Amino acid sequence: MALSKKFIALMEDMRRSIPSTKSIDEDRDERVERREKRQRERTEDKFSDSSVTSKNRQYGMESTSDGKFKISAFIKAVETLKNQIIAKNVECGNRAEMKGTGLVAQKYNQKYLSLLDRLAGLLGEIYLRKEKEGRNLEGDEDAIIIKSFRDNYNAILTDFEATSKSFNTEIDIKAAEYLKGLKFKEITNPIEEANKLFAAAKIKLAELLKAINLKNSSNSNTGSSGSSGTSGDASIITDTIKSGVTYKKDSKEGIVVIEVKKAIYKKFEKYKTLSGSNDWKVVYKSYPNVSGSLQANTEAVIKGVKAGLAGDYEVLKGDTTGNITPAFVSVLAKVNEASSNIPGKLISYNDFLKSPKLAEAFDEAAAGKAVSGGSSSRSKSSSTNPKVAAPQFNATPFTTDAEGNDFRAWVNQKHADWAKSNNLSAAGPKNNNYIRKAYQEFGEEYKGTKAAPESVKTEEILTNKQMKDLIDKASNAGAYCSTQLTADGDPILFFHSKNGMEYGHIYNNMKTYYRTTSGKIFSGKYFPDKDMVTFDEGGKSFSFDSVVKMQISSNLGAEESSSAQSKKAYVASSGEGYANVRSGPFADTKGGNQNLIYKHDDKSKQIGVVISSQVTKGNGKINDYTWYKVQFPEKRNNAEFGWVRADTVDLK
Amino acid sequence: MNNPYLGYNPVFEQLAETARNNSNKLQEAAGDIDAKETQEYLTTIIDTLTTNVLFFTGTLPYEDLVKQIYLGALEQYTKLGNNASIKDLFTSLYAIWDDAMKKIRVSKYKDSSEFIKIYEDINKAINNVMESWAALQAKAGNFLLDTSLLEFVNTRMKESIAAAQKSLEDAKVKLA
Repeated sequence: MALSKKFIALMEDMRRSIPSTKSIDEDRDERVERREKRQRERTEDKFSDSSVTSKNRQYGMESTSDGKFKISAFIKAVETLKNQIIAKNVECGNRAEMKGTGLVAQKYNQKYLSLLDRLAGLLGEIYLRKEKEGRNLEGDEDAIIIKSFRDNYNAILTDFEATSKSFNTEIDIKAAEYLKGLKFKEITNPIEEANKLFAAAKIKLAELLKAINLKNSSNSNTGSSGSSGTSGDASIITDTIKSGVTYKKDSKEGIVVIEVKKAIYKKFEKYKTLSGSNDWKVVYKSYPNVSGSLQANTEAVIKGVKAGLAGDYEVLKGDTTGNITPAFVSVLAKVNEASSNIPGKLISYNDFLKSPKLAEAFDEAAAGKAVSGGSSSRSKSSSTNPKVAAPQFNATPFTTDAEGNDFRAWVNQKHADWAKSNNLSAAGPKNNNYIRKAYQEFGEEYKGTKAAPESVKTEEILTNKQMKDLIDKASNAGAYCSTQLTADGDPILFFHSKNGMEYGHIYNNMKTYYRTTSGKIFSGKYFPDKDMVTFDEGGKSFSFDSVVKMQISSNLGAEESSSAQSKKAYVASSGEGYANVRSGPFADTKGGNQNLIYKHDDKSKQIGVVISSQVTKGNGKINDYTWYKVQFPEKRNNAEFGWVRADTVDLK
Repeated sequence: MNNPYLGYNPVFEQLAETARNNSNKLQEAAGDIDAKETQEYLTTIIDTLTTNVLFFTGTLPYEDLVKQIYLGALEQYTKLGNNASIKDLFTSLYAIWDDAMKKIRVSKYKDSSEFIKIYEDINKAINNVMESWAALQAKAGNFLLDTSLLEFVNTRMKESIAAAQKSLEDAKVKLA
């Protein structure tokens, strides 16, 4: 079969693109020779690096395992990320024609392809570098290249995670809605159960990938085979790991606890107030073997570390627990190890994945106090606020690559030295870290030039800090909300109803989208000065709090009774593409659609003329909704009148 | 007996009665589901199964397992465009997953409780989808034997294979 042959040829291509598969076919002698050469290099490295103490050697922290950026380990991580993106892309292709989820899949297909595009560029550079330089890169000579690799990888990974998160959420919602509309529950119930399990598995799988990578990236003797990596400032874990528990060493929590303990040892052993304490000695008595226990001694050490870092890291202030929180892990990844500032030292893959923070001030006195206290001072989780993985630089206002390239060209011309030293190419993505950094530096100057397009001169963008405040504000108001990231890595405020059937987004350019259960999407803009959101349709304005708490659904799509009367109702242009026409102003769905007269799915034909409207109060589970009573142009299933929900129709 | 050329045969009469009863039962089992709905439910079940089998074999967290399992699964998948019956398709689809699970259970990662637990949960979910297929069989009865439905399913599978192929081609172009 031609199709199959073509397909298999493609797979063969994929196989060939995986370096470790390629190596299988290589001549055995050649591999043996290479292995011996590597062993020789390791031995030479061990003795040539005078900065490594005998103690470090004892703990397996020789420069060969911890002091180099290993290209092969990095390639492995990038290749695995590639596999993940391809799998998602195949999923999109598969879902494209599916009822319910098809449109979502089509939307995300391009996003995954664009991620692959970026990954291809990175892979090309790495393979080229590998061919040119060999296995490792030197920290001092290749710092810029390493930084560029790191930034690229982290940016792609962060975007992939954010894209997958919103893709999965949208798919789950759409699939659930679709199944809900099917009447034979004995057939659909097992699928609904299955979908819940699939969704939970996707989340757990993503967490496991992170934990595996955390483990591998610190185990530099074997390099990293994980795919997700520690993405710069982004947190490695998504949930808090509670103290007072002994976790199994191969559980997801256990893996993180062990790696956190190891990281603490490497980074804080130099502070005697900590390492001299009894708690420390108990926790690290068999180091590098440490357990998954997060009991009193480990708790005390973690408290000590938090207390010592709180002065330098705002996010740890007030956290007096021994819990391992996402914020704590994120901070831990930023703190330098004792050896990382040694000039000329090679950069490890482990270091490579971190976002270095030079010159932190560790408060030993505070740390010592916490350790010597030693008691369990567990308090409630310090914050329930949503986690914001804010990018290092704010987004650019460019809406197209062409605008971004104009700016790049302008910087390259006007500030050639800066562009060269900061690796800003004349063409590239409109919103990656390079261009963001450049925009932070020269954005104001550029706005004043003729070269800047009108949109750049006028568009207002909330900073990451302002976005974080906005998200905190929504959370404090009691909204169900969280942070999402755009494909370009900008934070978005995502808010939703308790059951997830209604949701919305506020972007950093303050554009707001609000989706009701009918699928109809209302767009508008948030005005920070008035703390109001004004929607395009009908110019209605609502307070920020009522919007993020999803309290406006009944009013948003509804026109005043007097103005609605005599207008013709059509199926809403956005939404599910149909409107349920019922015999009363409510949905009686017990045992099927009991009061459904018919489903109107022809957008070009009117449903009928509005003759009155009515608000039906919800019951807590169901929102209040405005309903229009319409007179049909001709009888429908023997009925002359019917009711449609205001948010499922457009009035003309 | 309706056939005037055959004499009365009590055994044959009994068999004919049983066949009539069974036929009625099948019609009753079908209840108010019609051919169009049968097709809709069937499509949903097949799509759910194919998408998740391909996705979860492709996103195994260990690269060596991906190579060992995913490429083989894709290869099997390409052969599912010409099925002799709808039942055959489900048998083959389930076999792809079952084979993957067998490899996972004996792999060097079999002692990683977290990983195994996730995949056992996915296995449960796949079995739930198979339950749904069993429920549809009970409900739709003879509708599932309709040749036009088989034709529709085979076409759908070919489209799905083509979609997966296109996704890989697109990926290849991007990675070239």
